[in-house]
Amino acid sequence: MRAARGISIVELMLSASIFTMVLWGLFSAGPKAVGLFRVNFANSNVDDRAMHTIDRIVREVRSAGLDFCTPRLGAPLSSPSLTFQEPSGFDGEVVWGPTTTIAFELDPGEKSDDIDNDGDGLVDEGRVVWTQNPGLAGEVEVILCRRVTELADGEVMNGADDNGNGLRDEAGLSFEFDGSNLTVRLSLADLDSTGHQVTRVIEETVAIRN
Amino acid sequence: MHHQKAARERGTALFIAVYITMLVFGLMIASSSISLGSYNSHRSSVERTRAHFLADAGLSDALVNLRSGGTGAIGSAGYQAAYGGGTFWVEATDIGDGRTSLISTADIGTERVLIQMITESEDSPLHLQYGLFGDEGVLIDSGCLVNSYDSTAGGYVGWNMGSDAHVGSNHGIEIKTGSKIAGDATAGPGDKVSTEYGSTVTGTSSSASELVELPAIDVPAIPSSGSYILSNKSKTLPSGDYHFSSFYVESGARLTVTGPATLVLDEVFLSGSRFFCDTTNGPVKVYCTGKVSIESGSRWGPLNKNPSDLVFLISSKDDVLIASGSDSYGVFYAPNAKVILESGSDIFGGVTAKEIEMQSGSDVHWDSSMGDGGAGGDGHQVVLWRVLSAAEKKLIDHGYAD
Repeated sequence: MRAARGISIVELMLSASIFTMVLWGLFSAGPKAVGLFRVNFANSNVDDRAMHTIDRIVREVRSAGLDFCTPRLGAPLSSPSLTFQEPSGFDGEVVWGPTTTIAFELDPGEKSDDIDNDGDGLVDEGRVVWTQNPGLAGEVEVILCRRVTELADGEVMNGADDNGNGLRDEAGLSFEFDGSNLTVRLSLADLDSTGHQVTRVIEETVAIRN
Repeated sequence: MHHQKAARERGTALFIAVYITMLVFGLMIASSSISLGSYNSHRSSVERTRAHFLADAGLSDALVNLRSGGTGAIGSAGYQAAYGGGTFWVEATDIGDGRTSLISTADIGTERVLIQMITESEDSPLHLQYGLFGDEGVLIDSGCLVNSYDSTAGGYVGWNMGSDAHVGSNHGIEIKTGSKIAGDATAGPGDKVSTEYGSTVTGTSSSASELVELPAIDVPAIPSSGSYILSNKSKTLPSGDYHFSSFYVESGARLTVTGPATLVLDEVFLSGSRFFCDTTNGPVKVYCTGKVSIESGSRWGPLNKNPSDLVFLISSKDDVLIASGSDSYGVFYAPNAKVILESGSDIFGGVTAKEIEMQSGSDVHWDSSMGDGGAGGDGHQVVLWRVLSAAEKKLIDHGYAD
């Protein structure tokens, strides 16, 4: 009978209070933690995409032939595209593979007009496209990355170097030559859970080997 | 009744507790799986990048080995070299015509990267191989010095002064009292190296078994722009091709030629002036078809002080007079002319000519980095660099490709 008597009103009130406080803590911290997690996730996602894309681009162009790289612009100029050829073998002399282009293109439905035409929350965004045999019958096109900004972060189309990186009006994807060294810059954007735009700029310099 | 109700409540609590535990457990597993997948993806990416750089480092090592006279091979599939937390080996194959295929294979973790490099052996031009070479003879007057240094290692200072200079001729070599050749002296077939008392050849003195041919100079055809005279001021000549009927840089003037550039000069006079080259973007070649006179107090050379970046290719038969100049860098090639290094001249580079006369107290410091193909080249130039797939490697292994 003693065991079935239950708990006192004081014990009940105390445990109810503790339970309420714990729940309150959980419910108040939870959304903030989730929100923070989503923001971090968005940042991390943009970082990952930027690194993977620039690694892929650099891997492609490292073994290109310098004489086949066009255009070869040096600071303060740069190009949003690069056409090149890589060696495919050696038969008494270097055998060059097909022409390849890596270029920035505006997303379908998006125009260069400072308006979010396609309603995805980003303005004038585009993508990085790898094209083999451009314009020929055997053309192959691969999208390496989406959500690339039309201009590099901090840059405005005004003929000046607004972001202080030595280039004028460079695109979200830019190629800059210094002798046989090529610097690739990539500017990516995305929206976090709160609808704010997250932008990342990454650059890598590679020595062209052939 | 009380007993039955309590039992029901206990069952409900247990159900809720198990449900929550399973939910939390499930979330933990899902989170761990995502984290593990992400970690593996990152690890794989990092390992691939590291393997790439390790394979590239292996190739660099192999190239140094090749340029030092080795085969270029490092380790083997069964006995790999360890470096940077991974292992690698480099296979070297002679594919004919002086070419060598180097394939570096690097393993880090689960990633393997193969990179191929093909090099081509290239003899350095004759005019870069000798400190002095005189087709019809070399006369070294008293108190002269011919020695070597390595411009790629640093400037001409004590620790960088070497004994690798080579003085050669198709005829005799005469060395007067108090002169020193820090290196070898090789006279022509049947001729000899004559040394007076107090003169020194630190290496070997010998006679060659065959004649050395001095190739003719092929002067490029560039329309003449008339005379060029620079007096008492500084000026820069932009990159390009030029032909001047006479080229005077007068005392106190300073001319800097921006490479890549080709100058054809019918007459050259540097009268105590400065003649420099900016070879950052390419070499400067100077073809001299007539009289060349470099007067006392003149200085010349590339701004980077790499002698092989400024070559005077002199096709005329007129004597070439080089007066005392300090801290001057360049190479002279005059297969039809006698080059006279006037007393007190001091040149970093080398001279190859029909005949050479070093007057007393003049010095020539040969840049040993030129002897293997010029700066940056050691007789093996890289003609191909590419990342190989496993399938391409199999084709090479089975002889279907180089």
